[in-house]
Amino acid sequence: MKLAIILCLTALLQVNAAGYAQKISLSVKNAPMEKALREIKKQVNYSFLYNTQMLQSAKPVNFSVSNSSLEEVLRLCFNGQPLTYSIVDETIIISSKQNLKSENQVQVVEEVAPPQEIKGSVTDSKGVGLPGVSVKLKKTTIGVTTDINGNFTINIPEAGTLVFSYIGFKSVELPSNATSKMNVVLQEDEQALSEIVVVGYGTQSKKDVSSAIGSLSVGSKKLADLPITSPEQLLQGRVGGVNITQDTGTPGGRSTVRIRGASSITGGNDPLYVVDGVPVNTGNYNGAAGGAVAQNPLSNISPNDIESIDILKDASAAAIYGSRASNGVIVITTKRGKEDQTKISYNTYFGYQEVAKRIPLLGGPEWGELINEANVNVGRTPPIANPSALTTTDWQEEIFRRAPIHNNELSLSGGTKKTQYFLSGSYLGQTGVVIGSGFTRGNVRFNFDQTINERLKVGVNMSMNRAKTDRVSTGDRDGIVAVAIVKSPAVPARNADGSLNPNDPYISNIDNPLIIADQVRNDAFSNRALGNAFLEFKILDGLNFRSSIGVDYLSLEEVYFVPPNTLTVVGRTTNGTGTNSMTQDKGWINENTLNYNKTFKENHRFNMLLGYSNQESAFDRTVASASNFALEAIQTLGSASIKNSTSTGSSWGLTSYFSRLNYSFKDKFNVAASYRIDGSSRFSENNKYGRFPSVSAAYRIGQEDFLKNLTWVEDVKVRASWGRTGNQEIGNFTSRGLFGGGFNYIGLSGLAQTQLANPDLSWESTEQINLGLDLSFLKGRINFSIDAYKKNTSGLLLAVSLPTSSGFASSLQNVGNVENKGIELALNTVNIDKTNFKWSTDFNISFNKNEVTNLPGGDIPLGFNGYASVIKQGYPIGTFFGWNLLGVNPATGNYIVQDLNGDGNIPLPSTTLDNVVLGSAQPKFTGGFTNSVSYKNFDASVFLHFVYGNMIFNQAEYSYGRLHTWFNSSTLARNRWRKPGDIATLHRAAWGDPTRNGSVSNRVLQDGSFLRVKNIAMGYNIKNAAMKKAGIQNLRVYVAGQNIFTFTDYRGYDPEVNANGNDTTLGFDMSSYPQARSFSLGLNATF
Amino acid sequence: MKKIFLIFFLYLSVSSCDVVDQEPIDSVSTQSLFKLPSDANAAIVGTYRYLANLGPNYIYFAELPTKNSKGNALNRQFEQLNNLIIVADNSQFTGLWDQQFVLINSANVVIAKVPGIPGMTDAAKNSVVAEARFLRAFVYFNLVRYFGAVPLITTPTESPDVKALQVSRTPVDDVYKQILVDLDFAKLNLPETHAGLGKTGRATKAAAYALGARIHLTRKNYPLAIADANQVINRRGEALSVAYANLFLTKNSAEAILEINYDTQLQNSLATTFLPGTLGGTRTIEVNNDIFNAYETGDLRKDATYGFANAANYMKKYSRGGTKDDNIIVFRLAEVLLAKAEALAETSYPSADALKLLNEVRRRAGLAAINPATIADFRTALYKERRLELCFEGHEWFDIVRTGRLQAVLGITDNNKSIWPVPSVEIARNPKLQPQNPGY
Repeated sequence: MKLAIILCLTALLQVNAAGYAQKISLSVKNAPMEKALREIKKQVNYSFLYNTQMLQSAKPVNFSVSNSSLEEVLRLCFNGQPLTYSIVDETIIISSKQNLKSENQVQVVEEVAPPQEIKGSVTDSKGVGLPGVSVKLKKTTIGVTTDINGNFTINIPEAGTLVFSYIGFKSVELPSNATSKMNVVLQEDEQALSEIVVVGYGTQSKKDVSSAIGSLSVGSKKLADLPITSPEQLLQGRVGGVNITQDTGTPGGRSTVRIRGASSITGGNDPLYVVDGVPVNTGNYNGAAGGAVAQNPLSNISPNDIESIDILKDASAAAIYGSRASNGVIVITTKRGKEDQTKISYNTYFGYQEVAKRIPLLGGPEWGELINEANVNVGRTPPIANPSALTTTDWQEEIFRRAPIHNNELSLSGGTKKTQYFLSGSYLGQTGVVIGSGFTRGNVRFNFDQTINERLKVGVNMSMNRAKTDRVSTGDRDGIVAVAIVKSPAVPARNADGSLNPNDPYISNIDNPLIIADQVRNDAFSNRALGNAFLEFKILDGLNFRSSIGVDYLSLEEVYFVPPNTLTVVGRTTNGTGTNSMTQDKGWINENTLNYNKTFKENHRFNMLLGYSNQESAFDRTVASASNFALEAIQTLGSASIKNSTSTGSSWGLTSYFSRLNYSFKDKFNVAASYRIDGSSRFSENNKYGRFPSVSAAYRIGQEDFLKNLTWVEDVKVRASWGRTGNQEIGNFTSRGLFGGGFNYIGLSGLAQTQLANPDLSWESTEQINLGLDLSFLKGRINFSIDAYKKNTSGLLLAVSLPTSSGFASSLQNVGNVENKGIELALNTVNIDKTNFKWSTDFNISFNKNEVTNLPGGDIPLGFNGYASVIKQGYPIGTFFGWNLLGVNPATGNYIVQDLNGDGNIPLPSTTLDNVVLGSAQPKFTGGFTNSVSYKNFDASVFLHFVYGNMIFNQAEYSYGRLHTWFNSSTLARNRWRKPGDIATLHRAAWGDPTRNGSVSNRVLQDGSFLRVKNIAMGYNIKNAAMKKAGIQNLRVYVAGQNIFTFTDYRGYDPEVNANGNDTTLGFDMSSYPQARSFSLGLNATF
Repeated sequence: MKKIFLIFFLYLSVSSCDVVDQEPIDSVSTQSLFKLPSDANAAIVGTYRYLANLGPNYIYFAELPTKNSKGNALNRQFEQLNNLIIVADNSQFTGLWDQQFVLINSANVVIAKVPGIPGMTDAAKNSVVAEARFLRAFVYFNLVRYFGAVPLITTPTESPDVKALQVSRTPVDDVYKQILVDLDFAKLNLPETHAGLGKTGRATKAAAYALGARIHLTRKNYPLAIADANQVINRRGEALSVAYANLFLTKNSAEAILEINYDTQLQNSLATTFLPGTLGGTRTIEVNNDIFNAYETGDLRKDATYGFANAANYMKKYSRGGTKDDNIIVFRLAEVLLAKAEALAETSYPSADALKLLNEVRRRAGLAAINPATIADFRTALYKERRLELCFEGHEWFDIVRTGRLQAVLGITDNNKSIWPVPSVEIARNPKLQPQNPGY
């Protein structure tokens, strides 16, 4: 039927194409017809209408034209073909020569077609009606828009082509059909969405990009449906070269984000985050009490508000951010309102979380035997009379719980031609899987754009939020998780009357974890206001001035209180302790840019950027603490008799001048160069200004004729870049010689020298080269990218060890080099693309090799007890260092340790001289694998995340596995040496461990590789008439699971851990708060 | 409207040029200090702060390797010392070394900079410098007894030049020379007394002489020890008037000559280390029965020193488990009396004066006077009296070493073990410290 109409039209309208003046230059050799037509289409403003099957009968075409008319080209193209063509308006309609003849009669019938009324509806691929879709009769001004349910009625004078277009969707052209209702399905134009990438101080078309930039479209991938509470977690495993480790499972806790490896030892390795143009402060703001896990300053940003995240990975992309760009830049863009699309959207999910794993621990009787044995082995009397009579408390079951999580988000967006807005509010409530922990966040965002006149536009982006974290300490003796592992199983959790048991007859300074959760208050409240106001002024065509003022205000209020009672160690020894801490970081930034866009002689496109910015950030903190409280009920510090307070503050400022030039020739060659000068208050007097240049180039070979002729090749692009970036995270006043206060004695205030001057101190400098290749095949259904890079960081800021006889242990100096090199691969394929069934796959894998290439001052021991981790030349940052155990001596039960210093390990192996490199916390590769399918109204995705080749220091095993005190142990302890002659894998139990079996060794290092089913999400779009009547455009229900299965050999709770949150002591699991497995059920509704 | 915006942005652009000029608000640059007399006071107070920081180790290290104490497995480094497994990489030695030298640098700053402060009388300057030199002498005296020959550093550290800061060891005798030069300056220039808590919390002439007595006794220079002890006795008398228990229950008692003062703003780990859990401690150092059983019946000091909880004794000279602010008595009159008694007896025995002093200490303890017949008997009695009188106050190990009883008391046959190894971490930082002390 359709075909018949097309053919009618062709016969009806005899159009001469010669009248159209567009000129074409094209050379095709042996190219398939379809490819030739697509090339023609690129050069003229015509649409083609054809049946793909029909084209398969076409012969390959050969011709070469220069500046020829469309008619001429078409003639050449169709010469000798079993096809013919005709031009209707701006549409070239192709038909088979045979059919044309036989259908000539139809023409007569249709020729007198009267004006007609055409009815229909427009939906998206899920069948949801699209309101506001433009429906136009081609080549006329006749047009309507669809109503709220996507329905339209259009009166046209005669049959023609209807064009359906809608922002974000591919336009569709269909012949009008008066006889039945037209049901038009618009496909989302994902290509269009991803075609723009956000770069520093602007955007760029993806095809022009010559550097290494990773992008994640958050909105279109429905990532905000997942029960993810902080934006950086969205990136985990989804973008090559970005390795994200959630430090612990603590609600609201931090992640370690590394772009292409860690390049700094002390200067910080966090990327720079830029939210809607405002670089945000992401320091660790923890002030008060309790060894609490670091707050995550990014948890203030609701993932729901994010439109896209772009990651500037190589130096040429990042260098525009100069002295803060060494670790890469993550650019977050939030959602904005769109013209004529008023939308109310409600998103909610609720679910529960649980800890998937338990560590197998000894029960009471076995524990008792172990304790007695440890005492007997060192000649002490066994303290427990009858171990077999001991009872068993399963502390892990006591502290872990199934905990709910829920999120509600409501947004309103829309606008007119001149005014657009996006307004959202959200509330997240997360109860922690460990008793006493939780996280709640309320968030409000307002994005606003106003065009004042054709030259001037102003706008505001603003978000404000408040979050509360119920924290739990992570300490060995007061951390709930750590205590649940080490506390004696023979101690009952509760007394006979059901009350919590505060007594431990064995080890008096470890609390009952249930009492810690019940009694200790450890809350953090953070408030953040983040946003900017901007104006854009068009000076001339192509020349724009933009100025913005951004603010980033963050406050963190921490309240810690242990009531004055005998239930806790702290409570009874201090008679109640409280700490209130108030931290503020106030940052502002002013940016001014001039942007010039110009195309010369069609083929030469230029974009120039000049900018100047000033930024300042001031930090202050007041901490008040008190002890000896009068009452449990009064927590305010005024009621305590011993009071202490302190305050501190610091600040930094940055003045920057920056420029960038992009040049594109014929869309084939792209060259970009940038240059930035940063003056920082952090830099020393001899190095006040840093200079950061970069260049990059790309060559789109795919645009060359010899590749254009291959239909299966869509595009081929090679990229190369070089750039230099800096790391100014060297501390605010590290170059100065300083005296600090607070060295008080007998109530008098004292001063002492705190820092030696180093007037030559400079930023860390990173040079990076990047080579990339982008391939796109089969009309973009297969996309492949590979990037290889080498990153050399020099002038590493290191605490150079000084002889402590100087009164100083170290001084920060610029010494040492670190190298990162790696390869990133990404493959995205659309495996099946049918109307009702779609299946696509995204795969990425990143290899990074990190090495400290130069360390003039020699090894730097770090980490647990100072020895477990080392910075060592020739090895990566995060190298584990300790004893290499050769076995257990069957005679003594002590370890036989590899003896390096030649002293025969007499009296004991040395903790400084007998250490060897035991492994690295750096993974060999990481990546992700996502499969998404959709079938009719149903969609599903499975995301796998993998990390391979890293080691983890299992502190819990280090601590309890030492078998030296009242601590409980895992069932591994069953492998211990017990009597002379035993061939054992684990050392003897020995009270106090006088023979150092418990020291840092490969005993506690474990393979941290894992493959995780990170999430599975399934959704269903509900469609029915009643809903539409109620004004609901779209209703989607979904279920999602997070951290569903983990395949790993690691013996701790979870191999995704970096308890210290830094790189130098990477890969430590300090009895950390485990990651939760969660399941959620959610709903999206759009009105 | 448009213009207002533009002007506003322009204004901000221009007004913010100085963002790169920031000054610290919680510190001052070195150049801007030592301009006022008050700077001198602040600097010497800072030096005392380091004395307070090293205080607990001053106690622990003198007790851990002796039969006064017993470890309980909570601190493995303590456990090694307790079991006389002395290894250079015991991190406790690193802390001990660092604490002394950070004080020395602070004292060196005072000694170098205070004389240049304008508007301050020479007497005022000398008084402050004398305190710094007293503290430097006290700490170097600790260092040579802990580690033997150590780097002798008398100028402040100003540049992080690693090579220049790698200083070789100075022979023990030369370190003692510097100690005595500093002490002489201190004796001459220290005040007789300070105001307020400084009365016993800061160095005075009496403290300098008490230190002198201790040093000379260690060096077996008995006439000088007697002379310095007499200087103290001239100022403080010969009678012990404070009840033994009150020396610890009351801070800065009448008997105290120098006490490191702690308060709730400046706490220490002593009470935590010695007290049982029920009293807010961890009892990381337990009481050894060897000393507990050494007391004569009726010795008032026993009840004043020990308590009993959770099936074991604990040491309670540091009893403030809640506030954690027990003072450390560095010098008190009883030690000076015993030092003089020992010096007199070693000079000639029998000595009525020596006996009188020894029996004054026994009298206060509720014990009858004794009259040992020979110098050997006297030594036995005196050493025992010193041990029981001054236990857990930072003396026992040094008394054992000083009097050559390593083998007799602790069974240590290797005399090299009378000093400890230089921390291996420090040797790595400063290769000029090689070779390690013999025996390690």
